[in-house]
Amino acid sequence: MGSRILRHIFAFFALLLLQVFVIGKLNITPLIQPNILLLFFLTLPINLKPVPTLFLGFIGGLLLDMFNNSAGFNSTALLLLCYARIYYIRNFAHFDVVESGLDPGLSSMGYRWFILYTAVMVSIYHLSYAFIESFGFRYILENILSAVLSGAVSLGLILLFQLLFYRTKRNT
Amino acid sequence: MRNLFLFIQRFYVFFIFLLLLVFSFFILVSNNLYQRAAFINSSNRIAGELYTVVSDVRSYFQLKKENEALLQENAQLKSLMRDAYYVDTTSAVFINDSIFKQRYSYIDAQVINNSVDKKYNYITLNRGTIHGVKRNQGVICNDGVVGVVVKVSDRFCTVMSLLNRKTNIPPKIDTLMYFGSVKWDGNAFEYAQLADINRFAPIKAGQKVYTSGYSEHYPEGILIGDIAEVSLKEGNNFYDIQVKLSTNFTSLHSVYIVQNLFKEQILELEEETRKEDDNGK
Repeated sequence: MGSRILRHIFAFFALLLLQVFVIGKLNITPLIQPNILLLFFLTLPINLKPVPTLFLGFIGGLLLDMFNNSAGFNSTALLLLCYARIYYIRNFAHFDVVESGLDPGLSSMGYRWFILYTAVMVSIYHLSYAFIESFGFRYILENILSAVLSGAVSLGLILLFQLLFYRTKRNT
Repeated sequence: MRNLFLFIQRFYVFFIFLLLLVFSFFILVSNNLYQRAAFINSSNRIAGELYTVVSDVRSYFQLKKENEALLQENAQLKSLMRDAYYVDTTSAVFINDSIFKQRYSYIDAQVINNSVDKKYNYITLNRGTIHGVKRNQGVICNDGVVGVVVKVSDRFCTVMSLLNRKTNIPPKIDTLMYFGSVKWDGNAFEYAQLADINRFAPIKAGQKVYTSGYSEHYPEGILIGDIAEVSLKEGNNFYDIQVKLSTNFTSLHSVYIVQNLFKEQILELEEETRKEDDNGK
């Protein structure tokens, strides 16, 4: 149990640094701004209680905001993601799976379930982020385009990371 | 009362969510409505130190380019020195410089973090209050305008980049001052926009845009960029103008923080005038 918490804490800081110093510095275009830190929130234990989930989303978002000088953007968007996650898992995850308390992942949940789950969560995050960043509905089309493109890149990155680093966890 | 408790107990997740959301929005709005960075920003100790380490490593790869730029600037400054001028009159009278009072002084600084792809871009510099940096001081580099200091800690400061939707700089085009402002729309990092320039002003592509004397942050005449495109929509009173920025924000490294030594005097005077106006009403 202790090692599992440590692993999640390590994952958080590793992904945060990766996001701040590598992915956030790619400067592809202003429209594509992927976020790899979402992987941490997606792979939190499936039976984690709602209140800690919300607080983790909020505080994790604030930490990312501190590095990006985007006070409030990530904390709000990640809070929304975590809130959506609670209900998504409540409605679409099988009772047995929730009882088992696994970390959601490609291998533990099956490809179809995990890809759909990631796609929904990623689009919620990027849509809300785009609208929070533009602070209103003046640039609707631009925001939706940005959310779709960033979301697609985030989804790709998250699945890639799942395949590369989270694969062996089924055996342990 | 009991029903209320039951209600809260049933929907406590939602209430906690709402509470955090309100708090998030508070941070968000306090950051967005005013011209300042909120209390969460990268000029703090942890973020600052981390950015310094990474920027130290990165700067090794730019040393050559950086050296060339500094040499060039040196040459430019040398050509401005009095030794560089030949006095061609025999009746020259040199007056001691007590009529020149220093108005601006500069603090050199290194960029330790920078972004260009957000709507609100900020730059972190390795200078803070112990070096004399204060809020609202302008930041420039060899090529042109960079931004304004919005938040200072002991050893670091956060600068609102020109590439920020909150940017608003009064312009001077070639030699004439205009009402209007240089803004950034959040898209391309090479271009800023010149807003609120009246359609009757004689504006052409290719003219140069400088900071004007109306600006409280920058000295007059710091280059912002060249006008790249001028267009006028049917029935509009103002031009749509694209300005190609002279500063290359993607490879920003050495910058200068401008200290306006007269600023307090000017602000005090303006404040006093405003008060007198208010009393007169």
